[in-house]
Amino acid sequence: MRLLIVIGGSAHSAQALQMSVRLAHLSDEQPTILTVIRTDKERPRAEKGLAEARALFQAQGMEARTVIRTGQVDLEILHEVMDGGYDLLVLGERQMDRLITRLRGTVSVRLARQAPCSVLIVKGPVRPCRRVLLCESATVEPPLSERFVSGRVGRLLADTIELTVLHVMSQIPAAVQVDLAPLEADAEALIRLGAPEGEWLQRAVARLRPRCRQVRAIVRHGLVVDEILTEAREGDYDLVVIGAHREHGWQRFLLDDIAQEILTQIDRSILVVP
Amino acid sequence: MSEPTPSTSDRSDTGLVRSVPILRYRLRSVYAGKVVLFWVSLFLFILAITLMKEGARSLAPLIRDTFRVTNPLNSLGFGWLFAYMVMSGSPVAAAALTFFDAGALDALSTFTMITGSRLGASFIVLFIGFLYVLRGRSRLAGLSMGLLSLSVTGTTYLIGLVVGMGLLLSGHLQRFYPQRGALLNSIFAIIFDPLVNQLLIIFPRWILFPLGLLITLTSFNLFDRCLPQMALKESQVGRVSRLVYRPLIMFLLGAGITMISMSVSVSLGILVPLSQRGFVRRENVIPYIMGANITTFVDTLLVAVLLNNPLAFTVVLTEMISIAIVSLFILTFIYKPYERRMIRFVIWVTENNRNLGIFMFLIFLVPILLLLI
Repeated sequence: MRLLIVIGGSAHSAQALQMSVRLAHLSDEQPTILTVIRTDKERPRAEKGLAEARALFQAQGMEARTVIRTGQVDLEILHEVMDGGYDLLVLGERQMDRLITRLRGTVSVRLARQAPCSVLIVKGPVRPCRRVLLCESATVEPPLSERFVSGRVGRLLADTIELTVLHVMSQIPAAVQVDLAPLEADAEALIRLGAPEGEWLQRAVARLRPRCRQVRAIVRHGLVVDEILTEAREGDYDLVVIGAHREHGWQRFLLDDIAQEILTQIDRSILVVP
Repeated sequence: MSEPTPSTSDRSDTGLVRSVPILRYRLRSVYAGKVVLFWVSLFLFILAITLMKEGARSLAPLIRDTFRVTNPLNSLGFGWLFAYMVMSGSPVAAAALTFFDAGALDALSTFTMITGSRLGASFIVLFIGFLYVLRGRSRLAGLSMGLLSLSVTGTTYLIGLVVGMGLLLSGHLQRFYPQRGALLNSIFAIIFDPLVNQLLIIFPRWILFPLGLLITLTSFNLFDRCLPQMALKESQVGRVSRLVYRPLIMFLLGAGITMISMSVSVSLGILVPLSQRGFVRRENVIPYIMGANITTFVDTLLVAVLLNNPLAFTVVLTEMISIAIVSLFILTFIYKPYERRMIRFVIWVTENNRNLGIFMFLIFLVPILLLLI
């Protein structure tokens, strides 16, 4: 698993760095630490930051490669991701003014939307990924569970003790004649009823079981973003895994992007799998 | 040499070739039937408005003295209850304009009566659901859509009432009126006036109003039947289901579809096949209803043109613009909290029979109280 860690010298970068040190043992290749500067004046400070970061890895008996790029932050990170063929991009999240965040999206949100690899945004206290919540969507093919475990990034589950597959049903009956049973059912009942959601969940659990001993499926009913955030908080998960749609042109304008909403609002580390 | 017998596939191909012209002929007949139905419904609609316009003049004292509709709150309650009675909003909105044209209502009261008609109309979906609940269906299944529709309509229209009153009093919208309205009206007068005059010989003038109302209901019914079978099928538009999280797109979709269908309930029905199982997403419905609530006034706008009353046109335009302003404000700035509150409200009402009872009681009591103020 090729790992790219982005730092910028602030507290949010330190979190990303700490998480990366924890994850580095899952990688069979030397991780790369990247920092982006706007002008050459910033170079000495950037070099100092990278040296400190490398020292952290060395303290754990690992080596890390360092890279400095000059230019616009998100573009340079994207270029590095594409040039280096990384599997996972790790970065923290800088808190921004809510209005600006809403209009432009943070760098991490923009990267999660555009990067061709998985993006891990580190938030909150850095903890080993013991309890993981995977948010499975029924409308995307291949399913998130498949994309997650089939890629190298699936190695992130090496330390996981408990993996929960969540599906949120936000539907309501559009007409009175509609069969209500699936709309009130929990995961077990959906599987028993043979509902499509039950089948997806059953398949996801079967797919993930070889990676983790304890896999369970749960269903929540309500607004998708709200239910994911609530489950993440109530279940006190160490890591939340979501999928991302990489749309272009008119599709990007028209189609959904709940990933951005979740990324902006969640209070813990989150992995976005393309 | 014997004749080669056609293989099974040959036979079926021949059958298919033969059936294509038959299918085309049938499609053409269905299409022609719908076109005829459309013109019949339009004819009836114009006739109905002409009759209501004539009849409303005699009913002015009834509205003012018997029903005591003397202020905007009274007319709000009146329009609301009237829509309950006729189980539809558009005929009541049309009636409001004819009352205005006859001088029975002022502009502000007409505006609130039209608002009331929409509130009453949005209750119809809920009422049908309630009947299903009484017959043993689950509260959630029966009432979710109706409640959501009513609560979204209620909140946007009641805020829109304030915005609209301000717009109406400012007079900014009075300059917008289609100049060809007068020409259209004189053409219709040539066609319909002899018919109305004949009816006036037979019946007292006031009868023309209920007769017109009845014909309006019939014309809307016919118009619904001549609409093409519109359905957004999941298989046809695979990604449509993912449009759900873009409120503005759903808003425009709701507005566009309702502009064609001219009915919120028909427009909502089109959403049903989005999921093969008849489910629609919570995220999907609210902006769709908001969009539908604006363009549902297209027929009322047409009534204003038919009445050849520029101020009536202004009243309807004000209604549309005020609802659009409120809806777009909600979608742009406070959509998420608004959406959560609407969903919470639906859950609260459907939680138990007591809550449902309180809500149903209030929904009847409020318009009665408004009428009595």
